[in-house]
Order: sequence, then C-alpha cells, then structure tokens
Amino acid sequence: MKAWLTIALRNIIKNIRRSLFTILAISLGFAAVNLFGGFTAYMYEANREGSIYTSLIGHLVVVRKGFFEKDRKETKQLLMTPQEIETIRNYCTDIREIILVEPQMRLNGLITDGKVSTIFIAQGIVPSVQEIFARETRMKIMEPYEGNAISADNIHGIGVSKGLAKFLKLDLGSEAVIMGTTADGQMNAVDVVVYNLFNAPSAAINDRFIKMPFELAKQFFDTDGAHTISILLKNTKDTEKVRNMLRHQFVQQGLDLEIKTWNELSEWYTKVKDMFDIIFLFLFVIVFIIVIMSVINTMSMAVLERTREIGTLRALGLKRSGVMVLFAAEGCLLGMGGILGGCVISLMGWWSIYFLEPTWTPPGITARIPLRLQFSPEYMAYSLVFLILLCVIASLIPARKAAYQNVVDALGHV
Amino acid sequence: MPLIELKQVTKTYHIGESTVSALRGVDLSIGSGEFVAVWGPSGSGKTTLLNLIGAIDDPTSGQLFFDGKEIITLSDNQKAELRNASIGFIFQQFNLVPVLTALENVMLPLHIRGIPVNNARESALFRLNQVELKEFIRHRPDKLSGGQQQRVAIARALVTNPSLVIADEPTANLDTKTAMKIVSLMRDLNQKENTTFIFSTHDQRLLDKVYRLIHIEDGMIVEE
Repeated sequence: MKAWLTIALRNIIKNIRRSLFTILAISLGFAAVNLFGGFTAYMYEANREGSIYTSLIGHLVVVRKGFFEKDRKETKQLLMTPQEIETIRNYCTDIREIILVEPQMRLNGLITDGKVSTIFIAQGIVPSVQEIFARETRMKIMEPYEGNAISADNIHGIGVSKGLAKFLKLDLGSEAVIMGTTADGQMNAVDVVVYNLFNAPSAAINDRFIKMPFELAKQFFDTDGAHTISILLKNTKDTEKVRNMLRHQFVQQGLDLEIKTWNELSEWYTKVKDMFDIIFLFLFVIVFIIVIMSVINTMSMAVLERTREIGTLRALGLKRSGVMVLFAAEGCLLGMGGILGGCVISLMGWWSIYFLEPTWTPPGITARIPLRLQFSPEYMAYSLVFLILLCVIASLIPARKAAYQNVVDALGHV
Repeated sequence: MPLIELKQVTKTYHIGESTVSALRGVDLSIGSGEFVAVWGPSGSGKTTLLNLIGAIDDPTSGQLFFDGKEIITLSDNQKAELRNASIGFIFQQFNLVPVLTALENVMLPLHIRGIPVNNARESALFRLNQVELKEFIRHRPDKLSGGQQQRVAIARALVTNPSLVIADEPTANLDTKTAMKIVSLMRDLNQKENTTFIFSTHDQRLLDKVYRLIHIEDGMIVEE
C-alpha cells in the first residue's frame, strides 16, 4: 500500500496546478458545508433558547385539554384550579430532571396612558422565574430588559414591550391603566407602573406585549387558577421523557390535562428549522456535485495521461483491482488535501466571526443579535468521512475504465 | 517439456469493417534457457506474437501453453499472477514509472506480489548492481539516458526471477552502440541465469548475437 500511496502522492505533486484546483474546490466545498452548518446550528440553538428561555415558557407547558383550540368565551373552563396546580407540583417533585414548575397566565385587554388606548396581550409570570431562566439559558442573545425586573414586592410593576411603549409614549416609571374582562366576563381595570422595557421575542407582538406579576394577573382576571404551568428541565434532551412520565400520571389520576412541548408551541422554531434544513440540503447537493465533477475531471485526465503506465503495471502483474486501488488512493489524497484546506478556511471563518463580533437582525426579531457560527466536531467528522468517500468513489469511475482497458491497447497508447 | 508452445495460433483484429490477420496458424516451441530473436519487417506480427506469449493478449484460435498450462483457460487475475511470477517485460519505450526512482521502479513487481519492503529492496539493489547502475538508484527516469533507462527496465524484468523475459524491440530507441550493449547484457544474463529471452527486432545488426532466429512475415513463421 505504501508504494501506491507514494505513486499517488508524487503524481499529485507532479501535476501541482491541476491538483491544487481540485483541492481548492474540495476545500471550499468542505468549508462551505461546515460554516453554513455552524450557522444553522447557531440559528437552531438561538431559536431553541428563545423558545424555551427567553420566552419564559420552559420546556413543557401543561394546560387544560383543548386550551389552544377552544373559543376564548370558555376561558373559565380552561383554567386549572389551585388544587390541580398543587397536584402537578407534587408529581414534579419526584422527577429529578425538572428544575422549575410555576403557573402562568395569558391575558389580553386594553392599555391606556389616559389619552390613547391600544390592545395588549400579557404573560403573567411568577417574578422569581426570571432569575432562574436567566441562569439556565445557554445563550444570551439579547439583553432581557431595561429597567428593573418585575417583582412580587410590587405587583403593579409591569414590563412593556418597546413597540408598545413607543406607541403610548411610555417610559420607565410611567403610569398606565389596563382594562379587560375577568374570568366571569365582568369588566376590570387596574393601575400599573412601567418597571421595565423589553424587546419582545417576536416583531409581530412587539407593539402589544406586556409581562406582569402572576398575582396581578390573577387579580386582573379575578381568579385563583392559572392558564398554564411551565416546566423547565435541566436538559432539553429529557423533554419527551418527562412529558411521557407526566402524561402517564395524568391518565392514571384521570386529569383532564394535556402537555405541549416547546417546539410544538413554537411554530417559528419548527418552520425556521425546516427552512434551514432544506437550504442546507441544497447547498450540500451543490457541493457534492462540484466535488464529484472536480475529482472525476482530474482523475480522468490522470488516467488518460497514464494509460501506458497502467498498461505497463498490468503487464508487470498488477490486477484490475490494483489499478483501481492506485487511483482511489490518489482520489483519497486529493480529498484529504481538500479537507485540510477546508479546515483552514473554516477556522479562518470562525475566527473572523469571533473577532469581528458582527450583529444582525433576523427576520421577525426586534433587536440586533450577535451573529455566531457554532463549532461542531461531530459535524466536521461526518462531513470529513463523507467527502473522502465521495473522492474515492469519484476516482473509481475513471479508474475502473482504465482497469478494464485492454493491456495491449494501453501499452500502445501515445 | 518446452517452456512455451504454440499450436496453430491465429490472431485476428477487426478494425472497422476490415479484418486483419496478424498471425496465421503459428506453430512454435521455445525451450527453457533459450535466447531467441523474432525478426521481420514492420507489421509482420512480431509484437502480436510476443503479446500472446506474454499473456497480455489472447489468441483468436489455436492453443498456447506456458510451462504446460494453457494460457487461454486462465482468468484475468490468474494471467496477472502468471506474468508477475514468471514473465518479465522490457519495452521499446522503457515504460518506467516517471515518478519513481530507478530503485523503486525495479522494486515495483515485488510490491505487486506483496514482498516485504526490505526484501524487495535487497533484490532490486542486486539487479541494479548486475546492470551496473548502483550509482543511479535514486535517479528518476528523466535523469537517466536511454541506455540507462533500458538497463533499469532489464533489472525490473529480472527482479522476480522469471522463467521468461520478453523484450519488444528493446533497442529501437537506442543508438547502435548502446543497442549492442543492451543485447550483450541480455545475453550474459541469459547465460548466467538460464532465463529464457525472447526479443523482437527489425535491426539485422543485432541478429549476430542470438542463438536462435525466428523470421516472421505476414503473420507466419517463414524461417528458423
């Protein structure tokens, strides 16, 4: 084998210009796949973090069955009772994968500064969860808010999305009134103070989103219950496992509840992931074609130029398989050269992003966020093995033709 | 038993719509240790005859035996093994691998056989010494003269200790003086090692060196 690798390597060096073009094509292809793969991995993680942590929703959401489908007129029936909340907390105590179980409210109504009114949608959260979510997030993409965190000490302090604040000309410390219907359909109004301003997770709701303490939400809606229970896990990988465990408990106890996962609730995450998967597939196919064509072209020229050499080797006793191994070795070396070059280009790409720290505003997001590329050694390993195999297979196509050529014709080739 | 035996061997080529009979009913027997020249004009069938004997081509009809084995019954891999083990080749244009040194070129048949590197190296050095190229073992073919390249080819042909060496017009690309030296070298090796040599030529000046002459014309042996 060493002799064939020696011949392969020396032939690559002998035709250095041609070899370099092929290696460059492979390098750029490998780098493109890895850098784009790093970008998509970053996008997936950022979306995932946003869906789980930034939104303060968590990995699992427990709701009354039909909560997401039924008419809002049946809101009272869709609330979970304090007893149910306590029961669920008790179930979760025994599950070590869970680090947080807290109720939340989802409300809507009108907000006014006394002069102008507009609609709002609100998330009523237990204030202490903010710190836990902030601690557990793996990726800090945006600053959570400007001002002070909403607190259980003053339940009238709320967070207002920047678009809504701009519309109503609200600032930190501004007073406003929120109005809406209670669980029984009665009108209610509450005075509030702006404690913080934040960018909503989505541009679509940045002009109407409010976060308020859970106690204020209960007071506003005139209920002791909760619309949802958010469950945060230590590890995202345990999502399905914990869901199944809780589901089993709910069925056993006859509870009329269902559990949704973060990705089922985040239509945005699923659609963005699907879109990037398709884009990546396109890119991969294009790279695949370029690499195959480059290697086939280079190796076809090599086979043509060395036809007499192939005839000589066959005359000396090299079998057809030996000829194919010889050219496969050359293809493999070209692939390895390309991968080495690709690694250098990829590293340069990563370092550039790391040092330049660019920011950008993704579609549907309300603020500029860091642009990052993830580094995945597993990913690189898979694409490395795949590319090498591709180069070997691409070499075998012209090599097979050479191996099966008539020896006399090969010897007589000029 | 003769080393090589041909019985009514023919070889026909189809080129487009025409048919060319390169060999027509050749009967031939060559024993071990012979030093034979096949001579005739261009297109007489010399190369075709050598290709068939060397098991790199198959006859259209007839029988061809190498050391008692009928070659046509062998598979492609078996023929390759036969060539590697028992037949050495010397070509008109030397056909050395350009990216390998003289030593590496001579080691090549042994690599093909799977001989360990150290043993292959030792055998190759011995053969290069025999052809008086000890000082040129690290030279690539482009740094060797035509005569030196052909001597490397001779060393390569002999490194596996074959029973037969086939040389197709080995001196055609050499000047007369070098050509004579090459033929003398082949004859010396034939005498020392009892290896059968068959070479083709259309140069009459070389024919004095041979013990047996086969004259071929229009695909038939006309004189021995």
